Amino acid sequence: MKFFSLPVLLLVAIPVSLSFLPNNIGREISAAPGMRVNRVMLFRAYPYEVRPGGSVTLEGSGFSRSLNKVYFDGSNPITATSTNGTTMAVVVPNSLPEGQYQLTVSNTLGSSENPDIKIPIKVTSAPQPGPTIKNASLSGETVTLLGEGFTVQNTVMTTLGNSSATLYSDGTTLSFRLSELSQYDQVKKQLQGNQYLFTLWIFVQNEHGTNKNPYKLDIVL
Amino acid sequence: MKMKITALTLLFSFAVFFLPARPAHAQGLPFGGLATFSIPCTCSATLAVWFTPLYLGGPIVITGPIVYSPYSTIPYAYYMTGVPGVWHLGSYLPGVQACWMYAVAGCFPFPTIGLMTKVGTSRLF
Repeated sequence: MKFFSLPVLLLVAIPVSLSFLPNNIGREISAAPGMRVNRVMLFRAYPYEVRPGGSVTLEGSGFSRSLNKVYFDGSNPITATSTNGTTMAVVVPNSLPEGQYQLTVSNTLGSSENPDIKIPIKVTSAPQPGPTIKNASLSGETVTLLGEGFTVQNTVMTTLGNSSATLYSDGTTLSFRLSELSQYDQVKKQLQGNQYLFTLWIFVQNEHGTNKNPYKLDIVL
Repeated sequence: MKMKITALTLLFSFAVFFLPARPAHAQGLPFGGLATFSIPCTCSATLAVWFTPLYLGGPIVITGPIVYSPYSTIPYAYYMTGVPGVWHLGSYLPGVQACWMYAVAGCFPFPTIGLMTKVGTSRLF
């Protein structure tokens, strides 16, 4: 009967109960859904242009809750913590000279460094905001975007692929044809003449960065 | 004997008390469709599988990509996920961002319909 004393019951019951909690709660390092759990990865830094001493948000997976080191071109390490394992705010060192830097994150899982994937930021005393899309419409095969921060050389990235050439804008209006997108022909061919509802997500990228959240445009293909 | 029953009741009471309430969609919503092509998510090492047609349980048939993750999606026979011309049936978590693509200056989140939690496929022919 001693086996079932209250303290013993508590010792057994609480760990059993806690094992039902979602995987990420209480863990030192959390991975984003669908990502490899034993690896730190860095996907993007936002905004792209930042002044020395300014704040940048990093998005990735496998960030530590207690200690990460963020490197600028492999040096000038600063420490940072993440509350959810997938985002992390860092302050750019005041001493960093102006220029473009590749960011990497390291912690107990290793380093996010990948020769094929560069995550850059631009340190400048006069940062410009990246593009923002406020409205999008489709007329025939032409998509027209209204927004801010477009420049004379923009690239469009969408669910139907990227634009094959750079796109000119007067600063607030940007147009492109669906047929200019790299995967449009492939998708169109598989529809076999039928019409389907489709959600086109749109990013615009230029020398000042990329819009943080994609614009959603529901269309019929 | 009475003590044993009381003890066991207490044990399970504790366990049930700590069980979190989970919404139905946490296990995934059903989907089915014909894979037409796949796009590697170059930053996240996952795979965006494009379906045409894609059935999500409603009256409207759509087209679009759902992400297969080699790290979290449970595959079932005939294990041909993403192969063009193969029918897929499974469940997915809507709105989960699990595909990141590389484009000149860093990665961007490639928006998809969701992340597959499990998937089974037909044979190729």
